[in-house]
Amino acid sequence: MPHQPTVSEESEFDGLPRRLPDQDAILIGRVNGDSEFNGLAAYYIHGRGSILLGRYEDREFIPEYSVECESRLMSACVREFSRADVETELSSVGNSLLQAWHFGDLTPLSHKQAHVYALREKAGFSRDETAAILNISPSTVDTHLQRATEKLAAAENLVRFVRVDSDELADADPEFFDEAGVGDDANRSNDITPIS
Amino acid sequence: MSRFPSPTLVDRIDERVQELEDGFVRLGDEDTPFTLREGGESVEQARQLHSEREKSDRERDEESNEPITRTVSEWQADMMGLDFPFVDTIPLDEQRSRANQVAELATEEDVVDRIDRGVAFQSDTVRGKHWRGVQLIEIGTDPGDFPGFQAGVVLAHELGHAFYDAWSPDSGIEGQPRLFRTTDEKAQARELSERLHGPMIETDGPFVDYRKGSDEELAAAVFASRIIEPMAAQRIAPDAVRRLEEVYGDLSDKLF
Repeated sequence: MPHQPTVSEESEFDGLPRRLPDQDAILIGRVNGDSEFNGLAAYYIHGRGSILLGRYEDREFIPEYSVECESRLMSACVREFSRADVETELSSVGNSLLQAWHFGDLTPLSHKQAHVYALREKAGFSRDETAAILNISPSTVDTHLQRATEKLAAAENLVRFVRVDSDELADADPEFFDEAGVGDDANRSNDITPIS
Repeated sequence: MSRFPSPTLVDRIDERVQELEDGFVRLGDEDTPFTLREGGESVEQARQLHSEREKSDRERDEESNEPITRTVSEWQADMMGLDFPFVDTIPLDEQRSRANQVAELATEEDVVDRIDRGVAFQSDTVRGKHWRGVQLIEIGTDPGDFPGFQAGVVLAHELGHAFYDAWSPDSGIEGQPRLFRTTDEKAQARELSERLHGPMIETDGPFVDYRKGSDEELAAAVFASRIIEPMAAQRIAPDAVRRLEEVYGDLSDKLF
């Protein structure tokens, strides 16, 4: 009797489960259009570090093709998939991870922080769901989210600082710069301090 | 997962399966000990010649895979240096035995939780599966398949997945290295994969046969070859095997 795999309750694209825990697979998207790949589901496989395309049948993902991706980062592989020369559609997780790739590339956030921030803060996935998607513990989600929030608050402070006219600096109220959410580590790493 | 497009069905595989004039059926264009089956009178001739050899020579010859020839006279001229398919290649029961030894080790060391054999998969194209999340291996092979899809190779391949899982980082949010890093290592790994399971499916892009694009699939193929036919693996893919030994040897001193 073959193993009966478990699947997540949440599904997209008319029945593709968001997660396949026994296969360590996360739904990234699917291929549309009229190419030979039309209708294939795209799952990121943890540990393997790549996105595979295939059919979902009988509660199981059967891989057929692979997205060639030099990086093993989930977000980098999602970007490769989204840029493929066929019509692709990203899942909710896929969209968030694509956003995470941009966060990681264009902001002070590390890749770890960007992945968590995009899923938790921008897409609204729960703490446990985010942990399951990224294959990390919920407490690690908290840690990365905290650090991401600190960095972004520090960055906002920096932007506000550089927009102040030089002749106003002498009279600036220290309270002008919001320290909420900016921890000691963030201050040190970004050299941002309130004006005194 | 050992799916590799099954040679026994799937319409597109028909193009890769060739019936040769001497009675052999071949998967792909290359003669290997794993992509040939059946065979005609020449096999019987070679078996007769093989049976006339000293027992010690026969046994020693069957311990390893050498380059294949389907020409009896050519093989007869260099029996130790060449192999005739199904005559002095590594027998299937020996391949199964070698894979089983590693399976015991994998279970002892908690790399695998359980191995189920004789599984009747719902999909006819599947021969083996490794369920990462539950550390389960399932094997369900068909005696009529090519040797590369028989129990020994398939079990060794799935064990390769299990060891890769034990080595690989769990999370996709850190920039982790791949097992095979150089162009040579990747090319050699692909050669072993095609030796065991036939040529990869060519596509018009942008996606590739999932064996080709996956570090894990290539690692499982090199692992299987290293377990089933260690000397041939090292001869054909020295860099890929060395890298695999370096990585997996850290997981278990008893492995190789």
